[in-house]
Amino acid sequence: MISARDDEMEPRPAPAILKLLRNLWGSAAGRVGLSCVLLIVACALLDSRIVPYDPNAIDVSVRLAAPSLKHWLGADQLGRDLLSRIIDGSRVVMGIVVVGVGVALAIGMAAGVIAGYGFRTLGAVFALFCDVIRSLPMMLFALAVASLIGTGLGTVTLIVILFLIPVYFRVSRNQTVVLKQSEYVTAARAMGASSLRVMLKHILPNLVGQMVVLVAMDVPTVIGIEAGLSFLGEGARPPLATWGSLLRDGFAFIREAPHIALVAGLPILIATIGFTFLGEALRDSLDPRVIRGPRH
Amino acid sequence: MNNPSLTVASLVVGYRAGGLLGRGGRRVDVIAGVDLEVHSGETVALVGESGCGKTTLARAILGLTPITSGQVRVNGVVASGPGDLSWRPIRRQVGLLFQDPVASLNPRMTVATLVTEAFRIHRVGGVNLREEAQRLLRQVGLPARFLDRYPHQLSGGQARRVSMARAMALKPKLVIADEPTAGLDLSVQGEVLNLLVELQATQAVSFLLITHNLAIARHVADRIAVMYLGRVVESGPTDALYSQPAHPYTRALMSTRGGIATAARTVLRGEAPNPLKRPPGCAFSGRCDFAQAQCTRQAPVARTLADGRTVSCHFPLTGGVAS
Amino acid sequence: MLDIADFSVAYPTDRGRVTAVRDVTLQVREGEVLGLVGESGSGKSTLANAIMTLLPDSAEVSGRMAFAGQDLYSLDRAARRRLRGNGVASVFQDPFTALNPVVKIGRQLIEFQRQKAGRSAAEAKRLAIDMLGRMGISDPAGRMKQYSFELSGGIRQRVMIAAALLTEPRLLIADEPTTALDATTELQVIELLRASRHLVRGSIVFVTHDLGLVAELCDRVAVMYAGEVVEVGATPSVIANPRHPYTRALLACDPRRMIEPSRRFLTIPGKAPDPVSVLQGCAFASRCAEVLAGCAVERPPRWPAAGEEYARCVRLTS
Repeated sequence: MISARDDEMEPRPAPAILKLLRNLWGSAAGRVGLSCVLLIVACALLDSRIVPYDPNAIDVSVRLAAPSLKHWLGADQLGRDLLSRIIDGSRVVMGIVVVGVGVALAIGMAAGVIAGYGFRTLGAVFALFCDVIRSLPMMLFALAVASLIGTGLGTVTLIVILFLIPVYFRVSRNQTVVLKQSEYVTAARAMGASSLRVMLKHILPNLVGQMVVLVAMDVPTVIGIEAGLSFLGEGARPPLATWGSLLRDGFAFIREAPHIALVAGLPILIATIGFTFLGEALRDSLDPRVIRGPRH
Repeated sequence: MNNPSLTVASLVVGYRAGGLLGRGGRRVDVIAGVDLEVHSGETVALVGESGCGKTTLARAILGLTPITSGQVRVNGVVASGPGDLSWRPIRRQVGLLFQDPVASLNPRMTVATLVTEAFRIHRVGGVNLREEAQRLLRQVGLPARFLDRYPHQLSGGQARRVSMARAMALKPKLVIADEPTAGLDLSVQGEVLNLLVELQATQAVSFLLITHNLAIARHVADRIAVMYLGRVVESGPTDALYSQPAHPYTRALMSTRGGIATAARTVLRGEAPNPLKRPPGCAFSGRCDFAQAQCTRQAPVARTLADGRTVSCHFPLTGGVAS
Repeated sequence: MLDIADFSVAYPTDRGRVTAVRDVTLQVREGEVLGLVGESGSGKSTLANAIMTLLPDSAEVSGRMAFAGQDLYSLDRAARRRLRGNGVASVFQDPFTALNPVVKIGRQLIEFQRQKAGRSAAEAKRLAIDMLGRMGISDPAGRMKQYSFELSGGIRQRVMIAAALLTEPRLLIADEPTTALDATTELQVIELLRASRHLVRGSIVFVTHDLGLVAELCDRVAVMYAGEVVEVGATPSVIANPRHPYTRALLACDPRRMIEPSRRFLTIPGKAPDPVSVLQGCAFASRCAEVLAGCAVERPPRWPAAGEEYARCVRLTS
């Protein structure tokens, strides 16, 4: 029951973003996640400004050099500085992430919300398409696509998009079905809002929270796809530096220079830990708080 | 009577239960033929208990629930068919207040955005939305500092006022209030009611009040319509229904603690009605103390009594049938 | 039967220490029906839970709560649990959650009687059918085979009452038993409770927000506000001559008591004190229409100081 609390008011709140960041920083997982992600993003953005060496500069004199003061993470088989190549690679990989996830999100969410709101036939057709894609083993599917349209980053990005759309579609659709039952959606309809307006203004904004968590957790997957494909030679073409292609080099020279493989795995490890922790911390902070105190 | 704010004519809202893939099965009527009128500037209370269909009726008036047959006319405007687009003109003219005010506010919108949404939906031009929002809040007694708050920062009472402000945005001629005092303590119930009364006086609005709270209906409503199992069994001026109910169900209702203390207690037999199990003839016959053979065979038709009331009963308690 | 003296309940929460019940002194005599009235936040549900010994583990309890002479909170948890099933029964607002939806009612009604020594299953079944009949439920034998979700709200509540009565409790706590029911169904249940009062050999505590309901069924009434009992006395005299300003204000707000139709409703302005704050003076002072200078400073004592019926208001002592 509601009692008279009309004078009870909270002070003007801080913007939601700041509050979120403070929340994330509050937990250990959040701190780790945020730090790792910020590190990678910084590398991707600042790239050429912070690389110690030109990532493509060949220096045969330091071929396969182990980590040293001159080359912090060592050098690869052509004497190229590994640290620089990793930083450069982060730009490429993050680019794939942003484009891949971005496009998949746009298409998947749009289709999902439309399907969930009530356009059954459209939804059924799209769902069929998604089910087909998801039923194929990813790597085989990727290789098949690559053999059709050729190797390269474009192919990798396309595969990422095709792989992620079904996930975003399904979550958006299911959540839209739930949100459509909310009182505020009914209120909007009762005022005369069109379906489009309801979907854009009422359902989509309330969907975003969940999707952000999903996206954060998907980034390691995308990185894995790129790494896997480039490792198999179907992704980045040399001399382009990506984390996957570095792994490939590292594997080839694993007996003579094991440090290459280890070093190549490092950014993937940091990224996976970072985004996974961030995703979990986001999920926890966006969930309603659990009531403290044991029951009877 | 000049143009009524609301006319509901022979409204039926039903669905198919059982059957395969939506075919076959029998039809279950949640609203089984309702006629209702709300005149300009008056307050009509729609009272009834669980299973009577009053909430469905509120939604059907705005086309939020598909109508099986019948017509709804608001200020002379009719919806041309199912679908949100054809109901837009009607929805523009009606404000709806929900039972749970907090849930009816989008948690991601500020108060200012929420109360002026109707302007945006109907593309009302030449209006400074922020000023309008402020005016609407003032109308319900909320200061301007609430404009940038979010629903989760509002108390229940404040959320209620915000939803009232929103309902009044386009100066509707009719406001439907669904259980406006549900869940409220006695000591604060009056605030909502006083505000509704004030809004009616200053904005010349008609109210359709949906409630199970007879005590409130008696004071606030000009006329009462009593619903039972999807039909209006009696409707007429408040005083008349309270002091001299014509329909046996109304009589039982008025003898509960919401009615006047002097009414003789009538304890009903049997259970609350269920639209899935509609009895033959008069739906109330099974529980009626005055039922006769005809009542189980033939469903009564609404008739108008001498004092202007309409009753759906073969043997109304006030006797005598006119016109 | 029930002797409560200076009883308090507090909980730690995120926002601080919440005092839900504050120095309550109350008696329930054997065979009487006591109404416990209050709005949301008054502490009546907490007090009811305390009587039923169903408080969460984090609750801090002080004072005395004696049931049939035994101080409940001086016992250990296991002893309290034993007492709970044997002598105190309860009926809740939503019987749906109290009844197991996947077990037929008949079986549950029989199980509830398990505590009663010397009753065979057959005897328990017979008594259950008999009690259902006395509750005015048609076809009691058939009902025994039904599930709770098959029943309407009114019937479910009657089944709940039957279940409570079958345990022959010495104390029955009814926590808002008719709040969720329709007006006509509520009337049925009220008449039922009135008629079956003789079936309860012990006492009944009726918790509700509705003073009118109390007037129908209760011998005595205790009015609670902000965790305190502000007034307690015989029902007719409390309703006709309320001694505490809150009781007076509450009665004035009730639209049912407005004889003439009116469009002006009374309210009690302001809000109840925050249960986290430490209270100084009278709990109602901030909203009282008859407040005096000293009200916010010193907590008014019970008046009359001794006896079971009193009110807490400074105006009475002057």
